[in-house]
Amino acid sequence: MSAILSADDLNDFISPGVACIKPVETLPKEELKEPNNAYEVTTEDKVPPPPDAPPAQISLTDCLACSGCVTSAEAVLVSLQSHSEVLNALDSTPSIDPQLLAAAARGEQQNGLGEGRIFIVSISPQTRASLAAAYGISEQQAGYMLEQLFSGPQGIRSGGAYKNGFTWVIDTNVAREACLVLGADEVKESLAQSSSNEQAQGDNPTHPKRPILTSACPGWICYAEKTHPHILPHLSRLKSPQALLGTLLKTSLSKRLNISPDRIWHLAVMPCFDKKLEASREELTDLAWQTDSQSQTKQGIRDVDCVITTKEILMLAESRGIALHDVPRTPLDPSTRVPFPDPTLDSFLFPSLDHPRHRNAQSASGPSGGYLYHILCTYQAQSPGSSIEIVRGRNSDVVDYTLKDANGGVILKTARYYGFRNIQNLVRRLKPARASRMPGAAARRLGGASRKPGMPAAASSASSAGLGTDYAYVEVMACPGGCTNGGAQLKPIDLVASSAPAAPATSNGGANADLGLDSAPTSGTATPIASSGTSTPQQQREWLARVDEAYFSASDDEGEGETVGTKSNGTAAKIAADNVNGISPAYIHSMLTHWSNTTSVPLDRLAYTTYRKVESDVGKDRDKGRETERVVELAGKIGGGW
Amino acid sequence: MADNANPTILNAADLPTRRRLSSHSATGKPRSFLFDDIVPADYNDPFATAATDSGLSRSFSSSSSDLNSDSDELAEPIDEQEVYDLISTISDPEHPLSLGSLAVVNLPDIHIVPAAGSSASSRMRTVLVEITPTITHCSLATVIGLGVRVRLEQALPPRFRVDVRIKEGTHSTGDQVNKQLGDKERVAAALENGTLLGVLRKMLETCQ
Amino acid sequence: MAASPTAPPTSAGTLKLIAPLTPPSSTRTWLTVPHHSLPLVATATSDKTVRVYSLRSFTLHSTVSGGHKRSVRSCAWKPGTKGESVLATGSFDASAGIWRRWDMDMGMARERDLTGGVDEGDEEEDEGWRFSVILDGHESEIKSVAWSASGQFLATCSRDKSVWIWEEMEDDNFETIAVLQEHEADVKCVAWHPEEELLASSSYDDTIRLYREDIDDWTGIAVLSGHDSTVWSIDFEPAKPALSGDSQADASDRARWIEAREASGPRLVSGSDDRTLRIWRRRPKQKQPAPPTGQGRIPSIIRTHSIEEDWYEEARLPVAHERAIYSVAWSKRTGRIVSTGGDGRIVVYEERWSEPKGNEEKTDGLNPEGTEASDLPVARTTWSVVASIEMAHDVFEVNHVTFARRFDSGRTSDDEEIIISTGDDGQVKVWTVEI
Repeated sequence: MSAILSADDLNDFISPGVACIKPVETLPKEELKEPNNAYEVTTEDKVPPPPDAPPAQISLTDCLACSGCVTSAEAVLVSLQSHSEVLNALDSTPSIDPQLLAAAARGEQQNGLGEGRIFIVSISPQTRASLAAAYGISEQQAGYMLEQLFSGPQGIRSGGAYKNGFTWVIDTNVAREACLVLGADEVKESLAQSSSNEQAQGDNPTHPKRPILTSACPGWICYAEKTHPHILPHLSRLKSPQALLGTLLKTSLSKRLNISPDRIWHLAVMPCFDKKLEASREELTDLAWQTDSQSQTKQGIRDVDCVITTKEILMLAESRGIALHDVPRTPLDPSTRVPFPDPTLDSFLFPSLDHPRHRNAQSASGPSGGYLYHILCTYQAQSPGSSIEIVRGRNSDVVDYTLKDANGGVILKTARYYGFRNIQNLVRRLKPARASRMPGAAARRLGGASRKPGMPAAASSASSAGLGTDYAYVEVMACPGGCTNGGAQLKPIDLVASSAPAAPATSNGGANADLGLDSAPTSGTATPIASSGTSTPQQQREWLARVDEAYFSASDDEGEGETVGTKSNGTAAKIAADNVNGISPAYIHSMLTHWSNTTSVPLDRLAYTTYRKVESDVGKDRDKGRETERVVELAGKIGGGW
Repeated sequence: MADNANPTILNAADLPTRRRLSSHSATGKPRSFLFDDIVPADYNDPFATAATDSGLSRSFSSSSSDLNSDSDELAEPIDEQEVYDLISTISDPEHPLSLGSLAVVNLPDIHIVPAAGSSASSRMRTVLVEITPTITHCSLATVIGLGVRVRLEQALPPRFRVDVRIKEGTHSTGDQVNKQLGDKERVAAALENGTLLGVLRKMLETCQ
Repeated sequence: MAASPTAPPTSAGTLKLIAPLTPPSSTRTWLTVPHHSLPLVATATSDKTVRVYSLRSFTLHSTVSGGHKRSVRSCAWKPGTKGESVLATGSFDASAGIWRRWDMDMGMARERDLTGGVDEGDEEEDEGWRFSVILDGHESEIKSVAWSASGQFLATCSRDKSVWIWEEMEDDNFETIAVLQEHEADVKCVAWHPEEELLASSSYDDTIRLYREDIDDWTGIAVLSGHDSTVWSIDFEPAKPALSGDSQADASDRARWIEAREASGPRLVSGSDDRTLRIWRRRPKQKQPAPPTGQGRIPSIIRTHSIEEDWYEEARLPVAHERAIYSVAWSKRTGRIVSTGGDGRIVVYEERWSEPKGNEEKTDGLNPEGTEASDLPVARTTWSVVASIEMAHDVFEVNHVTFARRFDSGRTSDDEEIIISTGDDGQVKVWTVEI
């Protein structure tokens, strides 16, 4: 695991990829303060963060060990999404009166909704798991704690200009269910297509090439777009749960309430800094789904307005003067929840309490959403007697999952590749064979004239480039250990640092106990983890194991988690009939159809997205001025420019 | 991104030089510079006519070296003024002005010292050039320094070690720039970087 | 600069040139590495090729070309190969290459000029070298490549601040098994421990870092700080220490020294832009007392299984260079150390038993950084310069120096040692030490 990088270091850090400035359309207008500092930008509509705000911590190496990944523009985008930005948004305008929303939900459209915005927050299960491990509570309790923080009377509602809180707190697991079903559909369709027509496979942009690669990890997407464009046709076109939920909320609410999407302010809480980059993508704004043509000219309104990370939850609470460990860990009264103004979506977004918690609970599905596992379950359901064979690779982040029929025949070969080093090996295999940068030698190699005697030419010419794979699907995540180990998850050291001011009175070691970091009896003052300043790999592993335990334990709280609960809207029979991995594809499809119908936007524009090669502009523009500019940029990187 | 829109400019006539002005007319044909095997004929080099050295090192020297003849030991030694004349005509990468007229390089900041060592190395010299960036946070300091280093490594005999440093107190990150300029491996790699090389060529076009 | 200016080392010995390798390159040569068994060396050259010379005839044997787009900065022979030689190359073009050649082509019979050609009926097989694999992933210039002692792992390092470890899974299929990003700047050199799977890297950030595989993750286990500038070169001591010189030291003291040295294992030498050469030594792990059991929720989280290692600066070699030290090597045969650098000097050092007592001030085996005296063996050793030569490559800088076995007709014994230097003048020179 690599070092945390602060924004101050960015100039030096990004140097190798300096020429690669990603064209980010939603970047706020830049205003060069001084001609000498290309990277200093101010925004017109944003109050500068308070001077005492801690510097933004950007840990891109944690997510992706690639220095070419972050450009200046991206660094700005990332720094604009912070806990202080959340507070700014909350203080910018009143929240829309919940009574009016409730009335709208009942269909009693009165005299409009008045001024203000709707504030919504969606929370990832990995965030809950991280907090659960930190505070020694269950994942469910962590969820309640966050609900209280964002929506409850003792939470952030207790302060600020308008005493605003968040009207809805949504678990991104609900969107993940939809992503899993659509992801399995995508694999089935594209495999069927590729087997029926090998030739046309590459030409049809609607389906990804085999092997299909997970696209929910923004660090991976960012890296692939910049460094390995040959990978892009393999990426699943499906939006991530964060993005899908954003689109769902903005489209359905703006349609139903007849308000502009910029009056809906959607915050996501994620385990990963790179999710901020994802939220900044032009592809994930209302430009992708708005139907009226006039909107095409303006700047897009993001489906997710702001992303903060697990770490920043602590800062958010702190800046409102809230001690997170004092926030109740009990659910809010369900009767106080404002119903979502669409009953079908309401039951989708807010599964009733007796509905079992969703399937991050199963360790087989992994810590990153379970895309791969759900696909396997989908195929397994269609092949009675089949079984999943799991073979660990060179390290724990490379695992082969092969679905075999009763006779041992391979039905589907898939794999999990987490972490930068393993991704390297995957992308190298998928590289076109001709892409060798050693032309003269490559010809020799392909000729294969003098390989070892007795060795088939085909085998001998195999190199790590262009080897190809026979996988149908690979679940790719940039972080070793997957999303529970996201770069912005809490580390033991964060807890100690942030708990100190929050709980100064706990001289009896209560603070540590509260954080779940029970002091070893041998340690007088601090926990072993805390005392070392930086944690050893072993400590990091133990910590991650605890986060994973919290993540996978979600169902244990419920007891008999394997039974499928009853949906309040009477779809129980249907669920039981086609349940795959605890999810009903039919139910998901009916919800998606409803969504598409009520918003009059085809599902293709709602649930899918696109990727693009981000090109370096070096060597393209021969214009002299530009060249000097690039050299200035190159030279500016002291210690790294050349 | 111009570093300094209004730099102090010295009059060319006021700059110290031993050259005859006619020998570096601005309209002189730009000569291809790096790794060019052809020794320019038009340079008025007091040592150019000296007998060529037959040592192995000569066959190695593929760069066009104005003064690249070790037999100069026997002749008039290369002095600070000579070094100044070699680098003061380098163009600033941003301004259409020479490093001499911008006072980035200055005669008093050039020092030639014999290398310490036994008599065996008595021929060895170290040239220290301290450059003064036009402003303390000049982002092009590493490029200017690189240009000076490259110019001298090409033009001086190989018995000269070239140290280019930022004059103390004239740059906010002088130590870092010095370290980078002193790193032979990075300098070598930079000269294989097409973009940088293009800028260096332009800077050195005005050198004769 | 940490080191004070020095007069050239006044030592009894000198280096005598046996021969230059001919023909020289017309461009800068960076580094020359000897083959593990054959009388061959490979020279990384800035003309994008590797020149392979014979140590029998001192002439060019073959050229590895047609691959890299920029200077070849480094190369390394895969150890332990039989019947086929495998060469890894690292280039400023950010890629590493793996090249192969049957040893019958390397055959002793081929010690002729290169125009003779190989009668293989395959002209496209340029002198028998076959390009095998390209390893890409680094973002900027590769500075150094090194095979682990077993040949299983290849390490590469780059200006992109990272160290990569590659594993050859099967023939010609290399996988990235680690991307280590611990350094804060340009990584200059990588070197493997001669016995253990322990990797060292040195950097522009003035530090040396050590790595090991922990479970299935390679991870940093030590940082060696002390140099005041770029650490250009590192090399491990051979597995068996070789101390030379007559000793007045007490025999039991010597035995204790050797025992302590065996407990800490091979040492590491580093050469830096700060003109110093330093020896680093591992502090042997203390036996851990049995951890208390049944207490706390976090069992035995500390130390017990820690793979972190404690290395300290054991000694500094006499300062003998005027400018940056670019290369240092530790002889596998004699235990000597050789260094070279921007001043064009080649200096050979030898470790000897210190005179017992009374001569403390001559002892270079300093004990800095608060090392507890009780950790150190009683008997001390001293490093001194035993031979040196100035202007080894005329007026040019010397980029690399290494030890090799002597193969030419002038050799007096099977394990006679030579020194090979590589310079900015494109020359590779073969030396013998005369004391």
